[in-house]
Amino acid sequence: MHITDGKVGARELLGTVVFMIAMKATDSTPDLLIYHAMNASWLLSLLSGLIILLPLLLLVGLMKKYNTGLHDLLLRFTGRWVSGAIVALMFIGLFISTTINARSYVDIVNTLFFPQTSIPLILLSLLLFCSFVANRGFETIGRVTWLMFGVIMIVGTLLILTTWQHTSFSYLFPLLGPGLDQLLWDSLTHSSLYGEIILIAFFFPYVRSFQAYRGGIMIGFGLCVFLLVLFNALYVMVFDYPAIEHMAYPYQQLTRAASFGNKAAHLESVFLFIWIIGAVLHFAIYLYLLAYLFSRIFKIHEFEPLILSLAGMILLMAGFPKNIIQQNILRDWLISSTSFMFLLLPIVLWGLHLWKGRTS
Amino acid sequence: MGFRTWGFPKHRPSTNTPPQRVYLEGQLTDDIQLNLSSLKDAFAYPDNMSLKIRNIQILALNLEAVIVYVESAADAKTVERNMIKPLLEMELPESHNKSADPIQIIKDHLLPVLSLKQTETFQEVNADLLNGNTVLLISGSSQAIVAETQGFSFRSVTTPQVEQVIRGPKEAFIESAETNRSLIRKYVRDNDLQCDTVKFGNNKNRTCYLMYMRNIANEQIVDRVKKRIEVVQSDTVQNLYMLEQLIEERPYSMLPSVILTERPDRVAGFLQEGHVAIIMENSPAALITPVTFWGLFHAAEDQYHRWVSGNFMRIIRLLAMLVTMLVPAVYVAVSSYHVEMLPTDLMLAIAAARERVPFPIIVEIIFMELTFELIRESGIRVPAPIGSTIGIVGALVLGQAAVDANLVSPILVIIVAITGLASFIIPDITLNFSIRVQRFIFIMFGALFGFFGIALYMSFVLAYLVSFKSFGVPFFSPLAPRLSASKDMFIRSPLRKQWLRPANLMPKDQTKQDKPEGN
Repeated sequence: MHITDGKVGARELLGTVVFMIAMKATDSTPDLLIYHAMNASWLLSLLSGLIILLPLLLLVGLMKKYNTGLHDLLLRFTGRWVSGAIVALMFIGLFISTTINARSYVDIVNTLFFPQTSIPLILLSLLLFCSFVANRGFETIGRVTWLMFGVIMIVGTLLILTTWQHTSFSYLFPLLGPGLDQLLWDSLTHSSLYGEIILIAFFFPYVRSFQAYRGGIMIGFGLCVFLLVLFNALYVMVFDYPAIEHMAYPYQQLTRAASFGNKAAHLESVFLFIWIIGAVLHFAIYLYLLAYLFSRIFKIHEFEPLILSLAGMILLMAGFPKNIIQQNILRDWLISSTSFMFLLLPIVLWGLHLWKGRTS
Repeated sequence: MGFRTWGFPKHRPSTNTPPQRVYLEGQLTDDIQLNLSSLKDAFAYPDNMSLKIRNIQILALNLEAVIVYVESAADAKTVERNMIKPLLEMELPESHNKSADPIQIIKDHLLPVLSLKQTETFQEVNADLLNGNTVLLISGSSQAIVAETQGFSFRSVTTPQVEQVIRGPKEAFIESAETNRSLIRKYVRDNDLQCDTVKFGNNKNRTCYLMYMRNIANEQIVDRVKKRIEVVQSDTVQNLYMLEQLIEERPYSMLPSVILTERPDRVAGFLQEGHVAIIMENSPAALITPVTFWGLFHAAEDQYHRWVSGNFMRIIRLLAMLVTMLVPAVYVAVSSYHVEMLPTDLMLAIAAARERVPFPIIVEIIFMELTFELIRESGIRVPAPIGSTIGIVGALVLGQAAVDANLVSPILVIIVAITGLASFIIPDITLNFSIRVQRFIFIMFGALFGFFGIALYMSFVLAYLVSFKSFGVPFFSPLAPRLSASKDMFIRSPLRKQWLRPANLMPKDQTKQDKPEGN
């Protein structure tokens, strides 16, 4: 084995998955979940995870059978033009979601920490550094996420410990929130919460072996579900429904509640520090994935130079939404519309695999 | 009238041909006078006093011969006693066959004390003369005998000046490559210790020595290091400090991709893990390649202390690194953007102290940090007899008086003092410099965007750190990428548990010792 082959192992992949998906517990996603599932937002994230598990397992099974990544599978089963269209669809969905997310992260920083700094400036610096990191390649992203993985786990634990005094289990009841049928439907339409776990299959060529891939994403996926459930439950346990419905950014509010005795009562800036590092990695992965998808549509070999221009596009597009309400409506629509794509794609691929197996 | 004629004229190197150098090339002839005159030409004899020539008559063989050496490079007394005297005075026993090859007779019977070799080319003769060896030209022979008579002077082995330890050996390298190699051999008594000679420079007239463990070091790495040295074109490389910069892959990078250490015991430790050491004349150090962050982070002493104290030192060192890099930036960020973090009493105290200071915090801190850097630099350059004034100027004038004059606030003096103190703990001087430079960039980001800016830059630094490579070995391995290795990174496990060599160097033999039983 050569150590600088440009490939990542299971641990680096685990870190990548965690920074892609678990970061969602700390942005404006819990807002959306609470809007639909009320105090059962944690249950919604659990059910969504369970729902997407089936397509995920199908996809992993297919990848094992053919020992190849998602793009090659698409090419093999749907041909050049259809696969191009699917990848383009994914690119557009991901591009819009990255844009809205980036804007939402910047809004958080702007509203809560730097109210006098202009939004475009914060957006520019965030995206600039994300593209710097993304530019250094998937190997680098994987290594940094693995390096920071331990740190965010410690910080997350610290946050739970420092806010534990404010929690109350009884706030979780009634367990089912808006009712079982509503909750199940919302779980189905919000399963693209974990859609990235399907998308990450595009990175299979960068992973050392199938075993490493399966280990990395399975453990990472489990951890992400656990973290999303834990944090969503924590928000409800600390702030209670319906108060939390009127709270824009529950994670940041939670960090404001964190304290070590009365001398270190305001730790939110420390949490901000780690959160920003997480955010840079989060968007770096997205940028890299976007550039990869773009290059697959147009068959570009050297795609890393695309990252900076994509970041520029996102910078321009992120100026459009006027406020958080618009963003949330757009995001909700995007999540529910892409959910079916992520759910159906592996099933369709599996069907095609069976069909082709029969005909050949 | 072309477009290119506008603007400033370009300076081009003058087209005058430089004076032709006389290169000694080709084979020696069997005409002793012809050989000698070539040598004389090359050394500009007799205008140049460096070459010494002695014509002698070898008594035993009744042959004319010439002894040539370079003054003060060769030890004149050795030449006199061990070479000229036996050649002039010794006779062969009667029974000896005088018709045998004269060179063989001289080597076997007349000059038994010296270490000898034969050469046939002018290039080798020239190189040997410059290295302090003595050349014996014999009439009628197209070969020359070269005797080792080096007489360069150098100091004796002393204690390390930079990498000092409380526990552990206290020998350091000196400016002689031979002594340095012998020091390493003293620590690694192993027949697998390989020492290769690598020539570089335009005429391949510069030499350095590559040392590695044949049974551990990966050949790819050894080859890569060798190739990087061999492509060095410069003839003016005096020592390892210059060679270091010429073999680096990224000369503009803040991070060093090699370590220079003056301790043979550290070199021995590195060799045992599969690194390659480079030794060269005139360098009181060994160059270790490839390196990882851990090589720069660890001090010589870490492994000599017990588990508790060794790890305590490392944790302090890690803290010191973070303090050096981040504390001034965090102070700027907190006092400009995140004031709520401070306890109210402290916040009021800082505000009260800053009340009388007319500058923004960023000006204050840059002024004070630069002052500290000035004190540090002048401390190195100042001649020893007047060194004590630095302390007085630094402590009294700049600390106390700057506060009294309302140029800076007292809390800032504390911040800068802690930062300065912490920066001395970082063991490797190159890493030390790069962290000190990083500190100013962090201050800038802290002043621009508070914690947001520091975090942005931090993520970039992390990405750079993990993507940096030294001779193909990732800088942060075996942590990221994670590879098998005994625990010896930020903290270390007890010695008996360190049985694995780090896999990032792809050692041929992965284990140092048998896996310990039990625990």
